[in-house]
Amino acid sequence: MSEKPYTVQSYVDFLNEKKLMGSKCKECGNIDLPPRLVCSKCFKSKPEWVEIDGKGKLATFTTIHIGSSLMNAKGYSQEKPYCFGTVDLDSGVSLAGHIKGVNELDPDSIQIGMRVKVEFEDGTEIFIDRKGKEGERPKVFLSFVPE
Amino acid sequence: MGKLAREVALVSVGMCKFGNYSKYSRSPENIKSSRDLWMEAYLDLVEHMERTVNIQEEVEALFLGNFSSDLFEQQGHLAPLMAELIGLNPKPAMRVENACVSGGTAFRLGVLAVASGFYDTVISGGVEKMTDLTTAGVTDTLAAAADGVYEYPYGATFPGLYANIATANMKEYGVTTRQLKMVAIKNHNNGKLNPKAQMPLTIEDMMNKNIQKGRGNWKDVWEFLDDNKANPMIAYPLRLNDCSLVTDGAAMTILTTKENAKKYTDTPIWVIGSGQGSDTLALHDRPDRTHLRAAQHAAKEAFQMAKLEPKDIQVAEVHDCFTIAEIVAMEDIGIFKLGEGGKAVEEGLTELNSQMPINTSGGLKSKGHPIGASGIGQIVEVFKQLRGEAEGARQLKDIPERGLCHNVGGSGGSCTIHILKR
Repeated sequence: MSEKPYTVQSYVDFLNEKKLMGSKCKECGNIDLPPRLVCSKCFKSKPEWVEIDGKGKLATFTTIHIGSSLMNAKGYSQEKPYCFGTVDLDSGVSLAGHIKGVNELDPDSIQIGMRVKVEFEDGTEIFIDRKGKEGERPKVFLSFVPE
Repeated sequence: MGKLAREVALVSVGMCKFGNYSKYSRSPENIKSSRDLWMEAYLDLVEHMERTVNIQEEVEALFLGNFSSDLFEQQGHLAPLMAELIGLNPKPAMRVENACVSGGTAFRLGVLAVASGFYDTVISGGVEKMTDLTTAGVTDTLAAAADGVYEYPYGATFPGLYANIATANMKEYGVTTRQLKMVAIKNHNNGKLNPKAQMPLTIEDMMNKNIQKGRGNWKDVWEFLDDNKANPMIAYPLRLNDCSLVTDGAAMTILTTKENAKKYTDTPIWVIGSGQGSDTLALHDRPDRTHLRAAQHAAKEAFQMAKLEPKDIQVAEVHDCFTIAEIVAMEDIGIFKLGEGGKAVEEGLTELNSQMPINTSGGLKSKGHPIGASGIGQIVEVFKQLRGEAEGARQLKDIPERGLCHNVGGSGGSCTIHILKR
């Protein structure tokens, strides 16, 4: 499907194309997300790219009031918390991410086990070039919303 | 599974008073660097030695636990520097980094060195200076212990990761926020009795201080702890008082052989079990997010080596970086069955002089959590408890024979467990 190397950068590049891509081991069939050069199950190196369906179940969550500087920059704060959780995807792999579309101020309303799906969010990131010049570049962020 | 080729004796311990010695302090005399704190820990260690031994002659190597002096203080290459300050140059000195279990890992390397016969006498210590950064700087530096590619960019923080472990335990085992609060109350009750604690105050003391300053009025600690102003939410269900402290501190221990131990003391403490485990850095990659596989593995290895079972332990320092972590820790070690740790806390079973005293030092919650020094600080406490030397009312009335230290890195990516015996 693609000749891209099985690297972190390729995973990020695919995300920027709004594709959630993992690796499937041609030896044992195991799927790794993010993709891996070495299969996490049989430790052979026969990967092929596979697009992952971003639907699954919320496994754990929290609403974060004191956030990371990255999230603070997006406007979240003590009064405006964001939900962060782990998600078990139907394809058997897991991710962590920002859970949107829930009532962060009423965590009791957020249910472990609820169906969620990946949402690609257009944004920007700060990038400092080799000469130290700071600039912005587009970046697609991975998040989840209730299915 | 590992085994000890020869006996390892713990003959002296020392620590500085854990605290906030920030460069932002208004009193210059309260500003201390990691170098200053390390030397204070050394003086405390010397003071605890029963007999005069020439440390500079006897000690053959230094194992130093430190998470991130590079980011916290712009100082790398810390081990030779700390070795120099206590007269160990040109002997070997090495720094070990395993996030919050850097100290526990440095202790384990010291045990390995002595047990294997590689060295006869070593110092295992730890140091961390955290308070010179802004709160955001500290949060981001600590986040370096999480998965920087797949967790942090999506909003993870350390309280946030443990909060996920908490909601998983609430759902799976019925852990309650009241049980979490009781961990904090107990640890502050203990910490009040520890002259080396950063925050030697009970939660009630904190509440009364706030009342005196006119910040509010609460009928009891429960109302105080439920107040969003007095005890703000950090990451649901963890509030400010579910989180350990940002701390500067240093601690060190001397490990030696059975033969050499006599030079120091007639009553050494024996390291009879050392276990360690690892796991995925990212929480979401683990099949079970309620418990820590690294800790379970470390416990298995340590108990097997010590030929003991969890029921044989009479005092334990466990890694309470967040209140939920203490409940999970007790269950991972096997002190209580899965899902029963929270109830044990609620029934008071883990209080001082109760069935199973946990974190008699005040834990990371009250004594403080200077990352690289925390694991060594735990050893200091259990050493004192086993020798009947804990200060004042903190000393357990029935002096325990066997104790355990449980130190965790990150959200459970690594863990060490040590079993000590008098």
